[in-house]
Amino acid sequence: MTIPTEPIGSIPRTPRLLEALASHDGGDPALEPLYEAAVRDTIERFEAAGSPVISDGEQRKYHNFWTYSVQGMPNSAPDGFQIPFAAGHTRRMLRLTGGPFRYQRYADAYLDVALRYAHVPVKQAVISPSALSLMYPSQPIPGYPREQFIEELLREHETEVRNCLRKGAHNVQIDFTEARLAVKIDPSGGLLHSFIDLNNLALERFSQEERRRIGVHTCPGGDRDSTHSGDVDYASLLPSLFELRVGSFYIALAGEEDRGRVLKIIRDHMKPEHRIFVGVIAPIDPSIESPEEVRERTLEAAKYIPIERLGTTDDCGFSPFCDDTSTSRDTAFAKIRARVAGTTLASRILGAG
Amino acid sequence: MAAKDDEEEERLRSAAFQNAQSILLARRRAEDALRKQSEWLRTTLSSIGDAVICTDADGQVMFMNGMAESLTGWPQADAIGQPLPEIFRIVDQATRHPIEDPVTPALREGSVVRRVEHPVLIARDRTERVIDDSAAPIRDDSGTAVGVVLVFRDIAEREQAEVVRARLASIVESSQDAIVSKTLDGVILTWNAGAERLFGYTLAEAVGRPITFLIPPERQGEEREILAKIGRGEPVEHFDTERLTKQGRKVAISLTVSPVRDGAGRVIGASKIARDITEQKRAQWLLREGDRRKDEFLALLAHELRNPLAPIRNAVGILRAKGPKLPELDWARDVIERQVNQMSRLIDDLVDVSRITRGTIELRIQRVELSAVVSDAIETSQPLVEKRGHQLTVELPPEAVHLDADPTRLAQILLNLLNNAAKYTKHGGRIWLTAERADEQVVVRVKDTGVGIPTNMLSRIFEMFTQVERSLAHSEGGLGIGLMLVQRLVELHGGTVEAHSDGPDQGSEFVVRLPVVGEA
Repeated sequence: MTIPTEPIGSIPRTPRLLEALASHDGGDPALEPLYEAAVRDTIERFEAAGSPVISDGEQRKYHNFWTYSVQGMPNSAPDGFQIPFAAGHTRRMLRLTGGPFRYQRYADAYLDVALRYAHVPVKQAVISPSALSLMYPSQPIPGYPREQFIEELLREHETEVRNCLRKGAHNVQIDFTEARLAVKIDPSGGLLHSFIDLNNLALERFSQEERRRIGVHTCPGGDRDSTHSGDVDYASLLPSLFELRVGSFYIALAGEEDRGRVLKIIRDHMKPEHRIFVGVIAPIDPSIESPEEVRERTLEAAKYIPIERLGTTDDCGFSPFCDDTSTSRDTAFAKIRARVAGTTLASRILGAG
Repeated sequence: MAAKDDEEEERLRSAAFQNAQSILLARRRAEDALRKQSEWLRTTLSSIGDAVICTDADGQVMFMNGMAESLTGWPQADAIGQPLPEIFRIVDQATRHPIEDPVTPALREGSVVRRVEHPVLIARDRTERVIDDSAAPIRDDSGTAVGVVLVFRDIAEREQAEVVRARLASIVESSQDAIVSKTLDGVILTWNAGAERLFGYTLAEAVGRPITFLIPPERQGEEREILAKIGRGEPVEHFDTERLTKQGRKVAISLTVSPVRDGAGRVIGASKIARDITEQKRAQWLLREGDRRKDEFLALLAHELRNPLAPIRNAVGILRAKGPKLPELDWARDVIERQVNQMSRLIDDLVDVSRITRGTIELRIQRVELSAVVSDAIETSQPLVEKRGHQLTVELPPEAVHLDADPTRLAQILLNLLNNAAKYTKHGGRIWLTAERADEQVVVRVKDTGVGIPTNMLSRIFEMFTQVERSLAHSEGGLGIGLMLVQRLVELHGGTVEAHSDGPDQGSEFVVRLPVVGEA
């Protein structure tokens, strides 16, 4: 048994796709061949890198990991809340203007394409209900109560995850990057608990066996080599995060200053049924990690996490926002190669290879 | 710029906290639904008639319903957390050896475990019960067995019911009678061996067919009437009818049909019992035929015996008128005349019996006065009464009692009773003939101090050819048909007659009740 290793999801889009997106709407059918080519190329490179589990690199999420499912909603406005990143730039989300709340697309449509080209298991990342819940503004929407929105949001999320599981996703990863953001804007933890409660309301709709194939990813947000909540202490986040009723956690770790401290928190609060994928690659770091570095980070994690419940991953997607070109595809795949090779080295040392 | 960022963050915080309230509400609704489901499940388990115990994967008791508490004698509060074998102690019925509880194999095999043999459950107070038990693994969402649900029930009543049912089935199957059940539409449901013998059809040939195939065309209406009565929940008392055998032969049967009800008392079908009465019918026919032949013979005999009497009587008259007046000849003529009269009376009785049994007797009804009829009867019986030295006492109502009757037959009734009294009373006895009004009747009593009637003879005294003493030594003559004639003639007049006696040598009393004509 080797130590499992998986990507988070996004890979910088191909240059041709980025070029086309600069002048076309992302939903333009004329872009289909480019999307198809980008997915095929991404999967080929993932497989060439030896990645045992891959994604489509989120080539078809032509805005970002957060709003892909609601982009183009007629009952939305572009002036949603704004996320400030440490580098000084901001990202603005959509605002809901009325009901009903319906996804414009489900991520299983991306999975359909990826599975056509993949020769290894494919994972699918989806956005969390808590992230999308922030679309409903603070003022009530006349004729569309907040309670109804929450119920419809849960139903849409359940549909998306269930479709992915049914179609054969190796696993479904719920992106919960707003977890750290919640701690940042409400250090008391109340908002984080509310987010976790909402996400659990959705997760409880799945069987235990299904939940074993569902994971949650948390990170301080990565965009243009910058984060939105890098200053949030994991000690404020992880104990609550492990209350989520999922089988796997994908936790950014490579970019942390004191990894040992974070690993202790993980050790002290993880539950017997959890598998922890620790981040051994920092996407926002332009330098490419060596396999040996990855090996050492993995071995370090193995001191705190039982090897049979340990996995490795990247701290974050390489390009959660489509237009983020701060990291090249070559760099991304070089880092992925390092992760795969380093994890293999660690597995051999730990007798798991 | 910083102020704008703060404003944005506050906007985001505000939206998030507003959502939190709605999320909390959704959480409460979800928990409420889960709690209700849990309560519903617990109530269901507690309500069912079977005993239920749930264990965890280690076989420790986690739940038991009221019936399980009752059968094991363990309150749930004491049982929770205990290993199942402590609570659920079972042994083999025959060997008394402990048996492995079904939880372990259910967990091991991951499937429902049901025993063929019924173990004995030993309750906490040592009470023993034969039970039927089964166990099934409880699986979580992933299919992992996380416990076992054990269901068991006391089957003593069921076993007893099964024994009774088996016995009843055996009785039905071994019965000589045909026992058949059918639906309310008349479709045959069960068919015993007796039915196979009687009708010739096998079980397979009969079940599922409408029962009308057994009924002759001219009796098809019977089935409609039977089903209508059964549908109303009324039994059909046994009646004689005919049914068809497989060979097309009609068979005489006595049929009883009863409604069959379900547990709620609703009529759901009928059961019929058919008895072959062919032999019985034949015996009855033979009896009737014998009676008919006997009656014909009696009629013929009476006719043939009566014919010589008139010439004899005439010849005696000629001898008395024209013959020598010698004492010996007078004696001989008296003997012939007396015996001819006696024979004539016997033959008259025979003729009357024959007429009565064949229904050819005719009464000549007229208004009569009782005292006149009594006088006629006494006058006729007087020679015999005097000859035997009896004292006859007659007491009649002071007022006239009128009856619509045949005076000759009425006199015959009283004469027969008086003659009987005279004949069966030792010389010098006493005879009473009394009459009194009782409402719309007159009650005539003929009482004597004679030989009496044994108690065991009282019920048969009015049957034909019955005499108290049949031996020739005690016979007082007669055919034993006098009392039968009395009874039939009284009945033809709308009255009744009874015989009373305290036994041998205690005398007899015959009580005749006849309707009287009311005072106009």
